Amino acid sequence: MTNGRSNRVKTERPAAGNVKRGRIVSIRVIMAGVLATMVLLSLVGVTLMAERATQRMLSGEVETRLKLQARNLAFLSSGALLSDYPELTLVPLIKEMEERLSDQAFAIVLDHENRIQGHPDARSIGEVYEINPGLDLLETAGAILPGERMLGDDEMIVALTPVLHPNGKKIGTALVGLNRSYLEGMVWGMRKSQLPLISIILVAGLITALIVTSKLLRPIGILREGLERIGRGDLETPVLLRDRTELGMLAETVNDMATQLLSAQADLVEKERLAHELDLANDIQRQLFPAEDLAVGEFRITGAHRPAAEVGGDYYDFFTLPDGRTGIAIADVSGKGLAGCLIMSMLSVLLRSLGPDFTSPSRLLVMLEERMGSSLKSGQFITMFYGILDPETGEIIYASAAHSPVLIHRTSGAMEWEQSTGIPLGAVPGGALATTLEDKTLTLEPGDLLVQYTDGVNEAFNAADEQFDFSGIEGAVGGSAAAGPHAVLQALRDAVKAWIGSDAEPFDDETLLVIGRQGAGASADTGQVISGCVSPAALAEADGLLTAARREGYHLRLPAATDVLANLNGWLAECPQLTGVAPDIVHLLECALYEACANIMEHGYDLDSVRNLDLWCLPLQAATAQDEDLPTIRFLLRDRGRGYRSEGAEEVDFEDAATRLKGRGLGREIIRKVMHRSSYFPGTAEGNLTLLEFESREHTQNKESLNV
Amino acid sequence: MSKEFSIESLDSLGKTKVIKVTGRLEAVTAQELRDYCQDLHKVGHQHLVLDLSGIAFIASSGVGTLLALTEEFSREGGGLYLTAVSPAAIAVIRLLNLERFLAIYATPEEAVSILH
Repeated sequence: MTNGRSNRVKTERPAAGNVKRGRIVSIRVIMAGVLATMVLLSLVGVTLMAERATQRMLSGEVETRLKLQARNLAFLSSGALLSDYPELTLVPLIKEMEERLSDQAFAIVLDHENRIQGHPDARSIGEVYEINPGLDLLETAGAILPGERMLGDDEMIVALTPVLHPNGKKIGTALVGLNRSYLEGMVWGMRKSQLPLISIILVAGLITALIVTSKLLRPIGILREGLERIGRGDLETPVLLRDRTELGMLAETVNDMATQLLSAQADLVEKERLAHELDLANDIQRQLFPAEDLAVGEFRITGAHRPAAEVGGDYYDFFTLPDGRTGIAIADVSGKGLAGCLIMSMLSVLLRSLGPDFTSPSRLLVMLEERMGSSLKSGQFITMFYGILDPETGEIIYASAAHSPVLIHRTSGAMEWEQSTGIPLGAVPGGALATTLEDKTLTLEPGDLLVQYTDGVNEAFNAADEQFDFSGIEGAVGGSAAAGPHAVLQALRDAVKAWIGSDAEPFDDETLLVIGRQGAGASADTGQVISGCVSPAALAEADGLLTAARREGYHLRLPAATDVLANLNGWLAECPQLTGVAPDIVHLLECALYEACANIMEHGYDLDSVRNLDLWCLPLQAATAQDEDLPTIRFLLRDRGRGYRSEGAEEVDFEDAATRLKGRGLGREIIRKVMHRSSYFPGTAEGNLTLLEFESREHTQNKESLNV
Repeated sequence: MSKEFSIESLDSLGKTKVIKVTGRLEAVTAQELRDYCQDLHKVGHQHLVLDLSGIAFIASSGVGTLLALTEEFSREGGGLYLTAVSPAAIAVIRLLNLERFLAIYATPEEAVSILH
């Protein structure tokens, strides 16, 4: 299991705004409305213009007609005005004329003194007629006779024509008038006759607009269905739309988008599959590395591996041989990925099975090549170092098949490099390997160290494209050799990490193997950051604790990945020492153990899940017979990471709002509040030990005093 | 293995949002919760009610996140309210004597009713 991956978080992100869909207004209705309004406006405009023209034409015609009627009346009146009783002729004449004209018209004949001589109402005869002074002189089109006038205002038009004596002298005036309402009546009549036509045009326009927009907008429905389908995840059914407008173009874009989404989805699935395979390969590789360091006599053998982003073919192993000696191997299979990983697995199995039968490393390497034979494709090879350590003498017989040079750090501080003379396994077919390999011997004196590694270490590049190189290795080893193999391993890891940049992924696998021989009279491997703080008495206590833990303790091994801490819960539930302990206490113990383990994983191991820490629940201890029901529950933690000082850390003040805003420093508080005692034994031969003790009696007393 | 971690949005009453957090609240998931709440704050939710009845386990990083979020929300004039806090979570909060720095209510409804 890799950290992070299994802890996938299922969360719904808050939507930026779940937009509420308002009332939908159809484009169809909007378009029809706009078109109808335009038709209506143009119809009204045209009608108004036509009406004005008609009115102008009509009034011209009416004026001419009035003029002619007045002339006619004047001509007919001239004889009558010369007679003694003109009214006898004129009254019937005028009545007849008015009837012929219209009920809106009137006609009057005046004599030379402006007295009425002809009027439909006989009672007006003889009265003086005053022409309405409000009437204006109208300009008329067409010819006009001398003395003729056209008068008019908003209400009426009047034509005046002089009545002439046969000798040409004016003897009176003939007036013919018409109310303008007559004209308006005629226009209104015309308008009424146009109304049905306008309505028909309007309705026809509206229907046409609806039909046209419906037809134009039909593709939108198809598009919407298509988009909804895509939303539901169906990316394979295309939007079928044959449309020559922009909507057709949009449909094509939607189809292109769906195709691209589909391929992106497929890519994602493929990536996930590859990532899964890679995880698997990484897991296999990790399981092949030794789970623990090896301590034999004065020797400590430790190793570490940091995988590159892509699974690589690095390998290291050490194991005890039947004769009491120790086999030590480190190898680098060319090529990465699953292929490299498979070769590495084969190599591991072969080495473990053949190793015990060989006392000559070079012959073992030749045999390995022979057995691997056909499994190695052309161009695929393995560089490998194999050595056999005799812990009694410190002698190492070894052979190196083109593997990186071996570094020996002498207790004096001198550095010695041993180059390989061999060619890689599988590089040259036909058994050429045997002729290039030879068994060499070197001896590690007390205080000496041997460092082997893969090229991911010396060929690590920094941002300026410079190699870490052998000088980098010498620097890291020289500065830490005095503190023992763990310190050297850690110093090398830290130095390479700092070289490539702490955030950068290694380009190649980095594998390290360190063999250290305890110095004469010196204490054992003293850990990393902390050294010399463990007294002989404390060391003896730590040794006792670890022995008890191994013999009678209830054990849990945890890789340094915080997601495996969920396993604490089940482990505590099955822990025989906790049978009968109240669930709320078990829960508090889980919280404290969680924090203690998380601390080591994060600060001691940098969350390197290849590395493990061990947790034991120690056998119960009761101080007195009365305490049997309230024993001390003890947990022992063992790690091989960087040591750290538990005391001296500042207390966290949560009264300070700025501290609360940071939200850190609570882990140590939890351990301190739950556990009644914690003891730390850093840098023992077995690594760093942490003892956490929980006093049931003290807890019960505290609880009781709180209740009181 | 305990139930998978999840954050579920339950209800939204005006500017108050109720979200239910389930599973183990530890390093990775606490950061997830923190991002989620900060996202909600960014889109205008000044008051957040957390239903913590489904918390199976809380680590120091989880408690730290609740403290930090409470402080952040109250600094901006809003508030973070912890409701129905599970026994596993309340035990740790009490152990650390942190109740007084957190707004804890019996139920989400109670927190919402006090807000309105």
